[in-house]
Amino acid sequence: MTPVVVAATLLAIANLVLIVLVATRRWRLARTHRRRDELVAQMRRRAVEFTEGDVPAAPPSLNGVEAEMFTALLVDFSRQLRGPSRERIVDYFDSSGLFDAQVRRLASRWSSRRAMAAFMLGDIGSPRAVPALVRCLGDRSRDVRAAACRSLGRLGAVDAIEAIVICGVDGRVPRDTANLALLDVGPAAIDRIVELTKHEESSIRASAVEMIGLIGAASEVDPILERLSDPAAAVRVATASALGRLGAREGRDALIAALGDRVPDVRTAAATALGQIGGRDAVNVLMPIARSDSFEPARAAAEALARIDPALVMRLGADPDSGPHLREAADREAL
Amino acid sequence: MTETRQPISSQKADGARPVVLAADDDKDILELITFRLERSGYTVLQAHDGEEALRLAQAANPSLAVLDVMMPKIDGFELTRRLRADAATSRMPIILLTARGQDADVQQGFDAGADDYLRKPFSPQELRARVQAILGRR
Repeated sequence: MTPVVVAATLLAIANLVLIVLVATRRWRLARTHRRRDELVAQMRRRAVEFTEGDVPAAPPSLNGVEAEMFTALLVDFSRQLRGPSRERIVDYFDSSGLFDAQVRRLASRWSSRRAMAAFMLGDIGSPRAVPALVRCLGDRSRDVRAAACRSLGRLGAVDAIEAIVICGVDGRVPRDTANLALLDVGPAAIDRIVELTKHEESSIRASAVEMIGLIGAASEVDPILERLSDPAAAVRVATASALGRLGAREGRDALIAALGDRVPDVRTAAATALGQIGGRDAVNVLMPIARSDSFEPARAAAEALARIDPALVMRLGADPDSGPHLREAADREAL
Repeated sequence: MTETRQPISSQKADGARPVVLAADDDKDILELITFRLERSGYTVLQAHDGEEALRLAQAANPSLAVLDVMMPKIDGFELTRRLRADAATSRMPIILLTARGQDADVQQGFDAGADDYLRKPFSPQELRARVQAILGRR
């Protein structure tokens, strides 16, 4: 046999072995995935039966991977369900020791573990987690603070409202994270937020008013109306914006008065809010502002006029002396 | 538009059980909805995306549909619009499952033609009650 033939034969054998190895590996992977899918389907069925069965059943006795999957499914259900189904899941986590295990992890030296535990506690859904999560708002890791804030919202933690608002204001958690948590708590948070509109810190008053504009209803107009005369301009701006979002007709007179505020941002917010609320009473007050030299208030007033009475703005815009903002608003209407 | 929809009484599979179409790309939630509704005496057709839901709705003409808003291929709003535009499914009651805090979604759902909505997180017991209430009215 020549060396060339020997080399070719060895190469062919090596190729064959490689092909067999690859095929075996693929077959094993496919089998692993298939088994995993079957196990997931089996655990899903068990988790559904446990959550939705007519009478609360004892949780199945599971080991290792099965127990992990079952827990993950219940956490997912707890996140998406409420009512008796969720209560059953919360009871399970409380009685099985899984809840306490997560609370213990909040003291881990690894911030990723603390953050994961803070996140999980929100999904598990037990209100017992609230005090521990409030403490986490002071954690040295930003991830842990943000996870705790999000979880407090998930838990509808009314008692934590002040802590959440303050965290968002002082920058311990991103403002949006705090606001989303408050939105998660929803209308139940309103009474506590209304109290915060009288907080000694102006930034907290402004944040509270802003949140009322986002999650409040028409009945919340009265408590915030007086904030239009707050000593802090940021609070007056937030109040005008909130009144506009709420479409508060009761606030129209106060907003018209705010068009004379010494701070341009307040005048801008008031003009925009009047446009959102609508009503012709504001037209005569908005017109001189729309023609004024103060850029932002003038533009906001012109846009508000266009919302209230588009035909009027188109007529006014045709006049060459109407000013740039009214002409721009008229051009936009013409489009 | 020609009315081709069959009366509710003729839409029952298994002899007597009203058919409900449940569509959600989350297999876990879909399984849970199915379990809850089957326990309450309904036959449930499962769809994992909007396209499959549309196909099943047109083929089986169910008594009611529970549709998640966020679904691949066709979302819940578009699916509702298409079902309303089809003579065979135009009168089928539709309950939408919307994400939490999305009030605009609720309005959009009603505009698309939905009959009711449930906001996630939702109570399966409430879903069952709403299905029963809607089908009981018809």
